[in-house]
Amino acid sequence: MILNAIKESPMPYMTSSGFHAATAKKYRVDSELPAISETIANNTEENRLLAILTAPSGTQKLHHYLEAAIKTRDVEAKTATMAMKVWRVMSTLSSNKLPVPDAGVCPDGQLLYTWSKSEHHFELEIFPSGLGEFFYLNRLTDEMWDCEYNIGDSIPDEAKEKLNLFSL
Amino acid sequence: MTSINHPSYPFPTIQEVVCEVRFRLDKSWDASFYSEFLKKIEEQFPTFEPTAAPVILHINEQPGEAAGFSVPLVIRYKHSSRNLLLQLSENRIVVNALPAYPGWQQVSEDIRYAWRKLCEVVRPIEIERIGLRYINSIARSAEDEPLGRWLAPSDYVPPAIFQARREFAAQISKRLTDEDRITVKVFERTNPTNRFGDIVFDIDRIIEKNMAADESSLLENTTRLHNEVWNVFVSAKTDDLERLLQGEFL
Repeated sequence: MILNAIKESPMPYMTSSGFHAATAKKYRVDSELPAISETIANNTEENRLLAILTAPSGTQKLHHYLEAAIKTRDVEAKTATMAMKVWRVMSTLSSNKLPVPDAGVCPDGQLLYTWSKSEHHFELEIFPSGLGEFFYLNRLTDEMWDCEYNIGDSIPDEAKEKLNLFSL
Repeated sequence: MTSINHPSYPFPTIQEVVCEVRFRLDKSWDASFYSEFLKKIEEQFPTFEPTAAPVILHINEQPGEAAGFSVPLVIRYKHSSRNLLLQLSENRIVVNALPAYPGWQQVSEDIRYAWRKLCEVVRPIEIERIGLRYINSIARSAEDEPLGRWLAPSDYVPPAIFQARREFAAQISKRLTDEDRITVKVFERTNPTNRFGDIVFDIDRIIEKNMAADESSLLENTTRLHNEVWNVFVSAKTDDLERLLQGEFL
């Protein structure tokens, strides 16, 4: 519609510095500036914005995955609910910069969150009992670290440091 | 205007909040305002960049006058730690809150901050327009998932689109009074990270009238708009959407 209007306009014009200060009052400007989510371009900086904008979708996909696992009885609803809660805690801790983890279901009803970035690998295993276990592996140096964790407690400092490796 | 009591969702579907305020000054716009504004906010917004601006169409109000268009200069300022942007352009300032949605209290504080800092640079004598837009994005979980799983028919979500499995889009634009209008869009959108695509529920509530340029008036008006956006959202929210927002399961 805008393009058509421009084509039909008898004297379309543009200024180099922006709006028409002298004549602005003569015109009714209807358009709002577009939302950021409508103007993302394909470049490095905008890719970071795109990752931020699609984060809720990633969390929703995690919810859908857990819901499907409940339906197939691979995991209990209470374990899935704990998993969503702990994901929120970790996401908030990282100021929403931690990517949504890959999730998997283990044979005994545990859930496994994993993050992987270059040589770094990090896991959180969530057991139906409410116990969790962090695990880190550096694939280059074979450095390993693990730690037990009660779901709902504050995240241990060393786990926070490891998670920072994966921040956007 | 006080904010009504809204629940706070742990997993909001809000992809972006856009608050745009247009104002009138006691003098002409000056390009130096962009850098002066930066000086006022740079502790929190240390980086800035000009953006790829949209074309703005100017509609003539007087017969015989030519319509035209312009490409406005828009400077985007980025918060140092939060997913928050301010955009400044001639006679308008925009606050863009990106995920995760921090809640209305924080967003209204951000609007207050932006306006206060702007008023340290220029002297708005009047606010002419306020728009508050909430863009919700809901990831579909299956190819054949009906829209009705997430949204219910309402005054702003027409029943007809629930008959379509795919490729639906609806827009309701309504002038509520001479000064108030609302535009609500519901449509399907592709998402490179979700093969089933997303449902977008976009609520844009606008006031167009001459308003006092003081901070309390601005916040009163934006709070009223927020309450009304909330009412539109909640009137179309299904139980499944509530569970998604809460991170709960049946």
